Amino acid sequence: MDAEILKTETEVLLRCLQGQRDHVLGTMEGLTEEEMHRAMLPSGWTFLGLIQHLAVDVEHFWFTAVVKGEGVDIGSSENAWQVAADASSSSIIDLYRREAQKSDEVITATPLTAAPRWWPDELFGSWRLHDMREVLLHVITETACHTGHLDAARELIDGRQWLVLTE
Amino acid sequence: MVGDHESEADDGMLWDFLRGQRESVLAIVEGLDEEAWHRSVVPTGWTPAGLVEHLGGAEWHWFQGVVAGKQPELPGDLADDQPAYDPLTVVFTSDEPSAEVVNFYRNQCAQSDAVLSATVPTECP
Repeated sequence: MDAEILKTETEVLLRCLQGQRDHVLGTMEGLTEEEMHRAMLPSGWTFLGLIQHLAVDVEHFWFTAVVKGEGVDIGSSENAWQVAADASSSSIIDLYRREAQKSDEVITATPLTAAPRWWPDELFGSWRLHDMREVLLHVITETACHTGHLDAARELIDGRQWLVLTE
Repeated sequence: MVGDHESEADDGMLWDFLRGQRESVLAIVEGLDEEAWHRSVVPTGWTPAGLVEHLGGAEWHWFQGVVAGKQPELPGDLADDQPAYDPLTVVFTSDEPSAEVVNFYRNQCAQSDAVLSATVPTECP
């Protein structure tokens, strides 16, 4: 097989996740502070609420807490979707970048077959992700799902679209 | 690299994730009336019917087209009345009734599954 194709599975999945994170941040490029605090859809979430959700409930929760078993109390008491009206966009975006960076360290240091070190049964009942690979796929699909929400909100603000060209 | 046995296990897991996403797609549009299926709520104009039809086309393109190597034309009569696909200008809408769109999507998913069940994940397109 071509050596170029023989990337490790972790690298492929990490690149896929990074592409989704870039899409997330790309949907906010050029928005004003007011627009990032504004809800565009009936359910009432804002750009910054969604970014904080991705930082705390997704990146931190799944990689640092579930996979690595650290900081398991963070995010359980507060609603990450709620952002203070005077919170700056840069503080929330920096938080997302920092959590993503921490996630990457966990991802590159953990075998795909490693079982989670922590699992909140009270949150999920019998549902379970069994190893690092399943957690990575879960976070990729969750992040990708939220890029669609962000795309719709951005389109409603100024008509801008995120175009994915494969060639 | 993982061994053959583990590759097969991965294949099943990836398949489960894909199935989960497909189920979410159909669960989100469940209960919409025909008017809502064909109404756009965003400036670019895509509709639920158009997006689900596009996802059916994506299933066809990636699994039957790219993986299985079938000829690059859309199945059925979908290609007849539509301009060539251009990602820069395409707007996902559809005049088909929602039942037809859902049928088309489910059919394409079933055919994707047939391709997947005959292909190992490390195989090149």
